[in-house]
Formats: sequence, structure tokens, C-alpha cells
Amino acid sequence: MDALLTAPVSDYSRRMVALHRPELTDEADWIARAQRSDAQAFESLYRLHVDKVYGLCLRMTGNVSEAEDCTQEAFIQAWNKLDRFRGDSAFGTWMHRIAVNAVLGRIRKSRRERDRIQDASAMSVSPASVADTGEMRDLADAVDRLPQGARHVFVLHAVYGYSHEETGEMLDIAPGTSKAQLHRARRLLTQQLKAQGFEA
Amino acid sequence: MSDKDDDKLMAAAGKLATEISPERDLWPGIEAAIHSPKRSSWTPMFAQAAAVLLLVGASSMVTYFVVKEDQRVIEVVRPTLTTDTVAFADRQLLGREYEQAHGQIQSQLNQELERLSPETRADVERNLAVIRQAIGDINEALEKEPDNTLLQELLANAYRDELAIMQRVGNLTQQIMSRKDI
Amino acid sequence: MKNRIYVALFGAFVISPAFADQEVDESLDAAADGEVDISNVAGSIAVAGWSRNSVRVQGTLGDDVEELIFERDGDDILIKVKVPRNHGRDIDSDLVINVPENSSIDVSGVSADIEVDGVVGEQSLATVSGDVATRSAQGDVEAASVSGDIEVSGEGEDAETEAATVSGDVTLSGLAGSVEAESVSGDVSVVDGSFDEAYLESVNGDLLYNAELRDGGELAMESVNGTIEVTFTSPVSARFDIETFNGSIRNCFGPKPERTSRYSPGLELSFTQGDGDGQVAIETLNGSVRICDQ
Repeated sequence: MDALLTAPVSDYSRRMVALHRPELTDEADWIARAQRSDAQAFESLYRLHVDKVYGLCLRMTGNVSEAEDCTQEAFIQAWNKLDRFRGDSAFGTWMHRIAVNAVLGRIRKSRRERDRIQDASAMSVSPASVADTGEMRDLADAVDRLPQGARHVFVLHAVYGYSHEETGEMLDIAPGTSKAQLHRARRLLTQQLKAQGFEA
Repeated sequence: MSDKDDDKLMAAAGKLATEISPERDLWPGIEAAIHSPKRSSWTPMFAQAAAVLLLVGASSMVTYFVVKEDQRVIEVVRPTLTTDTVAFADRQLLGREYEQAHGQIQSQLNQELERLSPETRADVERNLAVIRQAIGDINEALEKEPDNTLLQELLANAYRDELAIMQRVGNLTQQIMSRKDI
Repeated sequence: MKNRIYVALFGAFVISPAFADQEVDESLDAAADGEVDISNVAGSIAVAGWSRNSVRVQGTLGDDVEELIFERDGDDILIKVKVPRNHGRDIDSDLVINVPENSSIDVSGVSADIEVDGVVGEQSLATVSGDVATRSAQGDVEAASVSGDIEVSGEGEDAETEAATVSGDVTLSGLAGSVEAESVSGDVSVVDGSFDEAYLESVNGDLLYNAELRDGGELAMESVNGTIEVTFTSPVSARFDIETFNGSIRNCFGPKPERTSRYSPGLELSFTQGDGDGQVAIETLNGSVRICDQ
């Protein structure tokens, strides 16, 4: 047991991972190398996880340009914080947390500039629902238009499957608040979609 | 809200795609940032990836959005810059829209300046000259070092400041004088 | 439910140039934490918070002022010096206003100075050629002037403060939380505070930050031609990124700047102090930079 606890992270991950998910040994390898500043290894991690990170950013911000910024910022921060990744969660989950922080950070900053420069995420011409088709697109559009707090919770809980505890932790709100926001999101979405004749 | 609708909604939500590919490759921006540590990941307000503000007019409202240039250099502008002659070397599209928007803001500002006292008007014009001088100075430096990212950022901020000040002063009467009377 | 008090002035029949300005002293009951909107084109506006649930307006109005509107609508109170479109020269009015200390206030003027003391609620203060000063602020403050100076001092309560002027100076003291301050040709100083976020910018003015940067906090300072001076009043843990094109960099924390390139006079300095939780980003074209601890 002691050996497991004191083993370097990469070996531990590799051994554990090899037992359960052979295809992820590559990822563990890339993480280990990236932690030693190997940028190529980090690029492999990027390629492996970018779609999931971008998807989260896009759904949370509702805006392509913000989502691109958020994605880049998330990976840059991940690179800077790699030494703190201990392997107790999946790398993808860790990236998700960093991405959520990046989204929240941008919101704080854009509030500062609001009087000088009206934030045009509302005026963005690029729809965020590019990945969805048909009626899923209607749903995705409706999610994009939710008020911010409700949207964040809905995306993390209902789309990405995080619990209210996890959602609360990521957004720095109480689990109760997360539940309340989810309730609000569901109510608003149902109203909106009913009006459009949505059929799941 | 019936339970059935709610169930349908939540089932559909679970089916929304969680993995979405970005429309363009974001890796180059990330790579540049991790290789040059001075490009701190945090400086969004220094517009690390944003080059210049583009203004889009929509009826009487002017809104901004940031156009990202993916680490490319802002084209050098001739040092004898005046608002009438601003032109980006071969960035025609950007230059034209920027000029148009700039022109819009300038004309609203001119109207506003008429309403202000001569002293304040002179003060505003003096300070706009300060910003424009700074823009000129930064451009002169950029001509010698077009790849200098500090200069690019300072230039983007100076252009943004100029527009912001012009817009703020141009909107003064609207904000201060027209208060509801009830 | 509205209570409306008009104070109408008829300056048209004045013959003597020594005609005294009209005196005002009126009060209205008010909500303990409502909103008070005040506007006065020229002169001065002084607002002080008090513990009563009422608003009192005292002062003198210029001869050419049409009327003073002072009325209540639910939780909102409006105080406005109304001047006719083609007004004469004498519109300078000096108002002294007491508001319930938990009110939020929205004050605007053109060539009017604004002074506030002891208001706990949010403050939005805007003038064109006047100065703005607010003391013992505890809530969010937005202060803007064109040619005037801005001064905000607080009681160390976390809040968001924004101050913007064009040619004036900005001085912020005793504040906490987040602060954003800009000028074009004036200096910007943030002293005696404790921040999670601070953003200081000037084109030609000098920037001074003499305060605490909290763990994980972010400080950004940018000037084109001004000097930038930073003194941390408590141990700082942050990643520093400093760049100048033509100015010197002096760093008390040890690491020395390097030339950006052989062909440019520019200097850059990146280092980590403490655990590097926070971020300090400083950019200037021609100014010099000095970073120190106390």
C-alpha cells in the first residue's frame, strides 16, 4: 500500500489504468511527459480532450468566440498547473473544472469592461448550437438563451451529468442553489420549447 | 409543467452532444502561450489573442466585439495618424469597418462637444490628442519591431481607449441631461 | 404614491444684480434603503448619509434655474435642478443632501462637483468638468468625470469600484475587493487596500499601487508614458510578468530584467514570488517600473 502511495503519479496511473482501460495508458504517458514540460505530449492531451472541453465551454457560454477563448485559456492554465494534477480524478474531469473556472473568470472580467465596451456575446452572429441538428438544435438554442446562472447549472448537471454537489463545487455555489437553478432552467426551457412544439 | 414534459426535456438534455469540435484549430494559440511564458494565460484584458476592436453599427446603437487575430501582427499604421487617415496596411476589411465605426463615434462626439463648455471641450480634445500621439508613438516603434507583442498589445489598448473615451464623452448628454422627470 | 414638491423660481423679474439666490430646505420621508437620484447641471452636490429615514435637501439655487424637483415615488427619490433650454448664465446651484445611509445613490452633473460621505449603498457618480469625491464608501462605486479628479475612500469593505476620468487624477484609498481605475493624462493611485482584482491604466499619467494583493489575486497596470510603482503592503504570492519598451525595471524581489531582444531597448521580467497563486501583469512603453515590498 505504501508503495502505491509513494510511487510517482505516472507509474501509479499507468498500473491502475492498465488494469482497467488499456487504451488510456497513452494518456497517462502523455500526462507524465507533459508534467516534465514536454509540449508535444501536451498537444496529444489537447487533441484527446479538446472536443470535450470546447463542448463544455460552448454550452456554458453560448457563444463561439467566448468558447474558443475559454478553451485556449483552460489548456494554458492546465499546462501551468500540471504539477498539481495528482491523478485522483480523470484528466478530462480535471480539465472540465479548469474550463468552468475559465468561463467564470471571463464573466468577472467582462463585467469590468461593460460600460466601455458592450459585450457583444449577445450580438454574436455565430450560433453555439452547431453540433446539434433538428430539434436537438432547438433545445441547444434554448439552452444558450437561458439566464447565465441557470444555463451553467443546466449544462453541468443535465448535459454533462455532474451531481449537484459537483456542480456546486465547480461553480462555487451551494448544492441547494444548484438545484434551484436547475428547476428554473427546466421551467424556462419547457415553456420555451412547448411554444415551439418540441417533441423529444 | 407536467412531469412528462419534464422527463422528455431531461432525456433530450442527456442526448445533447458533449463533445464538439471547434471550427478552427486552437492549438497554435495555446502553443504560443505555453512557449513564451510572458504571455501570461491570464491577461485577457490585455487582449492576448485579440488584435483590435471592430465596431458594428446597428441602427443607432453601436456595439463592439473583439476580433481575434490568432497571434497575427496588427498591421503597422503610418505614424502621422489622424482619425481620417487610419488605414491598416493590407487589412482592407478591418480598416474600412473600423473607419466607418470610428467615423460614427466621431460625429456623435462632435455634436456632444458643441454642448460642452469651451474649457471642457478643449480638455477633451487635448486628451484625445494625447491618446493619438501615443498611438503614433507605438506605431513608430512597431514599424521597427513588427513582431513585438508588447507593442501590439499597447496599440490595441490605445485604439480601444480612444474609442472608449470618444464614446463615453459622446454619450454624456444622453446620460446626464436626459433624466426622467416623474 | 407620489409626493411632489416644486420650488419654482422666477428670475425673469430680477432687476438688481445682487438678488440673492433662492434658498432651499425641504425634507421627504424615504425608504431606509431606497434609491436617490440627484442631478444638478452646475455648481455642487454634497450628499451625506444619516440614520434617519428621510431625505433632506438644503442649498441655494441659481437665478436662472427653472425649478428644483424633489419628489418620491415608492422607494425612489428624485432630486433634479431643472434648467430651461435657453437658460441664462446663473444656473449654479449648491445642494446639500442628507440621505438614509443605506440608500443607493445616482448623482450626475455637468460642471458640478460631487462630494459624498457615509453612504453605504451603491453609488453611481458622474460629472463632466467637476471633481468627484466619496468617503467612507462601503458598497459598489462607479465614478466618472471628464476633466475632474476622482477620489474614493472606503472602510475596507469588499466591493467593486470603478473610476474613470480623462484628464483628472484618480485616488482610491482604503478599498477592498475589486478596483478598476483609468485616466488618460492623469495619475492613478490605489493605496491602503486589499484586493482580489485591481486594474490601473493611464496613457500619460503615473500609476501607483501601494496595497495588498490577496492570494490568487490579479493586478494589471498599463501606462504608455507614465511611471509604474508597486509596493506590496503584505507578502505577495504571484507570478509576475513585466514588460517595458523603453523604461527601466527595478525589482526588490531579486530577479533582474532581461533585454527582450538585441535590437530593442525593451526589457522584460518574469518571475514567481511565493507560491505564484496570483498574477501581476505590468506593461509600459516609455515609463519606468519599480516593484517592491514594504
